[in-house]
Amino acid sequence: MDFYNLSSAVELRRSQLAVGSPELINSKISMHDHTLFSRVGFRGRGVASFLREQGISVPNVPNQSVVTAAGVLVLRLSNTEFWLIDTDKSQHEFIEALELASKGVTNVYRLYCQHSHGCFLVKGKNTPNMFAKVCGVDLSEKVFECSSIAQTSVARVNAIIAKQVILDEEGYFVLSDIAGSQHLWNAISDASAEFN
Amino acid sequence: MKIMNCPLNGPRNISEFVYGGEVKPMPDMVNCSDKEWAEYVFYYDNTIRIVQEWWFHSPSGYWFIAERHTASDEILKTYDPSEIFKERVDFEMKAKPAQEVVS
Amino acid sequence: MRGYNRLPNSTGLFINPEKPVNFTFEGKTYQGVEGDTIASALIANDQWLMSRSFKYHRPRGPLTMAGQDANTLVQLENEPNVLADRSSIVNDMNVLGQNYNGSLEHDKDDKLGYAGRFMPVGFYYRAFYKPKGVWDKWEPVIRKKAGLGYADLSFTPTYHDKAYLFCDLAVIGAGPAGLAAALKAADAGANVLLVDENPIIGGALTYHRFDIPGKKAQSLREELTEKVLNHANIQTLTNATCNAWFADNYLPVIQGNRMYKVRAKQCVIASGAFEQHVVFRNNDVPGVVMSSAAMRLMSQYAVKPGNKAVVLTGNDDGYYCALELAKNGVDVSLIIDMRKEGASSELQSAVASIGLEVRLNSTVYEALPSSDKKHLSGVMVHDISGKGSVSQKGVKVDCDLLCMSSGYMPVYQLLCQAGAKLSYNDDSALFSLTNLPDNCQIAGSVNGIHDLDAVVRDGELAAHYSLLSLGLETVEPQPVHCKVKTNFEWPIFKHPKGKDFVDFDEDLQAKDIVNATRLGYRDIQLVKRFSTVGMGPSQGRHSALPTARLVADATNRTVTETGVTTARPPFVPEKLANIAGRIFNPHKYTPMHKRHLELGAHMIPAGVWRRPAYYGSPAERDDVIQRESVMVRNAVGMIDVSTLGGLEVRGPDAAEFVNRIYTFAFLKQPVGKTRYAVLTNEQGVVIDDGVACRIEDDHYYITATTSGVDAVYREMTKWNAQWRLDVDIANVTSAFSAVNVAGPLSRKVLEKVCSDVDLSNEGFPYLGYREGTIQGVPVRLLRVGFVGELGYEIHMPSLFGETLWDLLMEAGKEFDMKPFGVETQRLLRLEKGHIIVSQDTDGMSHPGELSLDWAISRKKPFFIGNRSVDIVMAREQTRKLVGFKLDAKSSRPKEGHIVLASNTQVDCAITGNVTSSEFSTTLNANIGMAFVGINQQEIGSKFPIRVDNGELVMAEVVPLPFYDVDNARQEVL
Repeated sequence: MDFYNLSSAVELRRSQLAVGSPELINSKISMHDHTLFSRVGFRGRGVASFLREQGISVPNVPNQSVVTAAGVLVLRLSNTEFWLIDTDKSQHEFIEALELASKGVTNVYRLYCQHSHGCFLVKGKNTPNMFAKVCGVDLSEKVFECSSIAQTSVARVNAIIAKQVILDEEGYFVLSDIAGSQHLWNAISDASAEFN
Repeated sequence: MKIMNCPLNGPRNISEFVYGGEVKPMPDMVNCSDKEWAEYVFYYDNTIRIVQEWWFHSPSGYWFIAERHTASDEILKTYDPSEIFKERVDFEMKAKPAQEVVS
Repeated sequence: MRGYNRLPNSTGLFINPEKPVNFTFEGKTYQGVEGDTIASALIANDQWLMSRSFKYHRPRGPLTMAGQDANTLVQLENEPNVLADRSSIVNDMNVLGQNYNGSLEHDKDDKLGYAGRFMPVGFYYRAFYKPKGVWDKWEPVIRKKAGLGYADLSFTPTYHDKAYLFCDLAVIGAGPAGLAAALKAADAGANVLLVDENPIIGGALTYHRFDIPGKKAQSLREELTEKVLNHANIQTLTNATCNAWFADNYLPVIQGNRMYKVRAKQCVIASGAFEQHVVFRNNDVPGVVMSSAAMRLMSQYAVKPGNKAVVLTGNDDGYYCALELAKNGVDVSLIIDMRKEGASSELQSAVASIGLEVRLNSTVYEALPSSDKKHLSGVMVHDISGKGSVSQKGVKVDCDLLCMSSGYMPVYQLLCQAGAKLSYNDDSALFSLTNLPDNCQIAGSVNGIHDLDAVVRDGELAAHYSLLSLGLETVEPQPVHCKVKTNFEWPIFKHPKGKDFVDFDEDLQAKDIVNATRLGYRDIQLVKRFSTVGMGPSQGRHSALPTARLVADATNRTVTETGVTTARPPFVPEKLANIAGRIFNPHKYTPMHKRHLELGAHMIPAGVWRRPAYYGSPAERDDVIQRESVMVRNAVGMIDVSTLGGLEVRGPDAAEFVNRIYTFAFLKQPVGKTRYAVLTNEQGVVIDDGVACRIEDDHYYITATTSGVDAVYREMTKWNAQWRLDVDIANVTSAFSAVNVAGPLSRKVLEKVCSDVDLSNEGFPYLGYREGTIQGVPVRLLRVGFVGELGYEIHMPSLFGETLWDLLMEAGKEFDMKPFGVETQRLLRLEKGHIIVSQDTDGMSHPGELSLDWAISRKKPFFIGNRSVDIVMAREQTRKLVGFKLDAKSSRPKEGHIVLASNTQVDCAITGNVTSSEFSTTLNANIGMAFVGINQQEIGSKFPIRVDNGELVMAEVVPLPFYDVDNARQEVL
């Protein structure tokens, strides 16, 4: 069968999120819906070397991330699982090319995170305090360092939280089951309200 | 709430994990008796000792093994299943034993 | 200063005398100041009576001024059972008493006390259960008498929430021990959380007197407070209560409307000690207080607790109280010391130097109430003649305040929850705590240390052990010894006329406890349950120790043997709002959710998902479902099946893996074909089903039930952690959304949007799998027959779900295609006799019972339930899932209705139950599936179902499927 391209028809993607004011919760914490930004994931024993062959440097240990010069966030979720996320909606072609390049590579299995997960970017000084209301992992400044990833439960749904500096600004990427996006968006908005 | 140390993700609330039963060797499915099979499927020792258990870290989809004391509930160590299960397992077709009489 | 009992030369640590606050109590207006509790403001206004006791409606006033007793429970406008000595006043607050008949001042039920001797311990249990049924009559009366406040049911919900709080060390209690522990740990670099229930830190330093000059507490408090509040490594929570200890130092700390879920690596519990009362007649009269309560009134609220005081003590602390009272202008008539030897010589001379009289080896035997019974007017003082006994003759001493100091009970609750053991030391007459877990330390008076310098060192010692565990540098302090004896061995003086209360909450007297043991309840837990001792709001804070002593004495055991009852969480009453606040209820929406709402769908929960049941109003449910089903049978309809589970298995061993997991044979399944997949567990029970699509030799896409997919994924990955086959297993449930376009016209709809797949019956036959595109969107197409018509499941990546739904709806317009819901789908599949795992199966259903033998391969070495399926299917069978039919006019059975062995025999066996049932327009009959007895399965035979109201209906067993027996409609069109 023909290769089934998950990166295709980018213009027909729709986020199911019903977001009132999409970009801002209040003056202290902002949240942005990045669900439609391109991303791709791979799993398998051959992924680390595949990505390096593509000129992408990857974190050395699980639950760490790096950012490429072009602004692609590279998450390492286990020894063999890597996700690549476009952080400013400029890297679609790069992501698509990567997906196509993985075809037929031994021990590289493409994952479906483009469509299985919603993606939010949460920013603001009080973000760790906000997360303490919805998440049981300590994300405070001293403990959860930049480049760290926590795969945990947020507002009772599984989520991946990745802290990284994008364009000189620190932010938390939150990736979680796309079908639960609205619930998570509402829970984070509610938790953020007090920090206005 | 209890904390368990996930070999991949570190210490986490126990609510992030799903219990997967004791680690038990499967008897030879073709040649064992019905009784041996029932022992494997249904019975647990339930004594005070250190047990090996399967635990699943739900947010990362990761199975690992924990050693826990059944009286103190202390989790002594956790590790990747590859430390126990090192080899590929295969099943072979064998002639079945004569049907046992079910009482 | 507001209130005429304010002290002129004391500021009161908790209050701001410049800010008056007006409130009402029982309709009368009072003025207090900011920082006052209801109780302190009332006492400042000479209003001691605050409540009526639970059983005898006796007048009660504050006992501890620390929220440790039930005497101060009052009613606020929107909240019952508020502790008046913990709750701050605010302007225009209206406070009422509770538990009275008439008014607080004139309670018509106060005569119940005279009936006390007719209401012995266990009275309710013994008096109202015979003859049978009498309890039902009495219960409403007793409940009315026993009720406390009232709940305001027209309340406005308030915002409550929870938050985690992470720290290296949590210190519970900010008294001298807690402060010292926090400082030492913070200095060593630990991140410390300090929790205290009071408005300011300091603990006993905010009210207790530790030395004759009366300087030590203040200077130490100021020094430690200054350091703690300015320490970068210490976070302090005041007005915050740690309400439990849970495993691994998970500490719920309630502060206002928030519950902190504290996660501490180490924990120091410096919770202090409860001062204990003396048991004598009328020890509950307002004006009889703990010494610490009088000290709190003076130091924290600048309230003068009385004009003429007597101190009854069994330790030196009573003398300090007397000094403090005298300093604040209270006339101390007498210090009554229960001990023979009295206080230290320094203290003796200190009280002598200001002219206070001391009487040794004596006690108060009876408190004398004023003529209106509402306040203390004097005490009868007797010599102690032996353990618990007194001389015949006593002397009367007039007073309006009696301060009691008989010793302390460690605040052991959190520590016992952490696993500590309580044991009683006969020499010190004190409980001590041992066997704490490694991550939990104890410090200060809860540890039996009462000398102030030793308390501070004990705090540092606890911090030292915590630091060792945290791996931080620390120098071991000197070991701590404390020679101060605080507890008098037997401060219990039973009076022949009773009212010598052990438990104020429950009006339990000394004889009640003793009588419970005489009735055979020797175990402390049974004494508690029979007498209700310790069950009231104060949870044994004062009754546990005298009860343990009385029971031990009455049963000739030691107090260690007797022990105390279990102190379970919560430590103080917890509002449900604190627990309920911001509970997360995750739910999932499919990408077409908005469209369903626009189309008027009636949404129902399906596990965590929300799904359209049908498109219309619930009032017209039956009609809507029948209309939707007719549409699918005759034309075409579309259903959102995005909630279907999806799993991908890829890799060289993919076929081998699928072959091991599911019951069917998959090794030779052709690419481009689907195959029904049944999953049994190791017990041989059917736990899930779906369709396995072979996309490539090394690539399977498998559907699973909505509610089962997560468990199936876990099973798959767990098995492969053992088998180590070369496959990747992925849960793609949310990555794909899907619709089923079903009905005779479905091909025509699909043809309009999908041009790169040959959709003809030959090109894409029944059970085929194809991939194609719709407007450039990649789709997976499965030709399925779940609802029994020509049909295509279209699976697309989720971000396209809404777009493709819109496209297909548009394409279906000319065929009058409309969406149908999950309830309609259930009817359609029922007509086809397709089971839904977990609706038509239960925890015992093996494949044989479900007639799924055809879906089991006998020609492979292994599948998960293999051996068990062989065993259970070789046994004598007991039941079978069959299809049944009933006349359209018959009562329709409901799911869960039972199947009986006989319709004539009254006490016959239950042989099964109905699993699915619905009316079918297509068949013009009520149809369903049911488990029936093995001898009831014959086609054409009838079996009885008991439906609503006990009616029996006779259902006929019919072959499945009900509709289109040859499967012509789904296969050969």
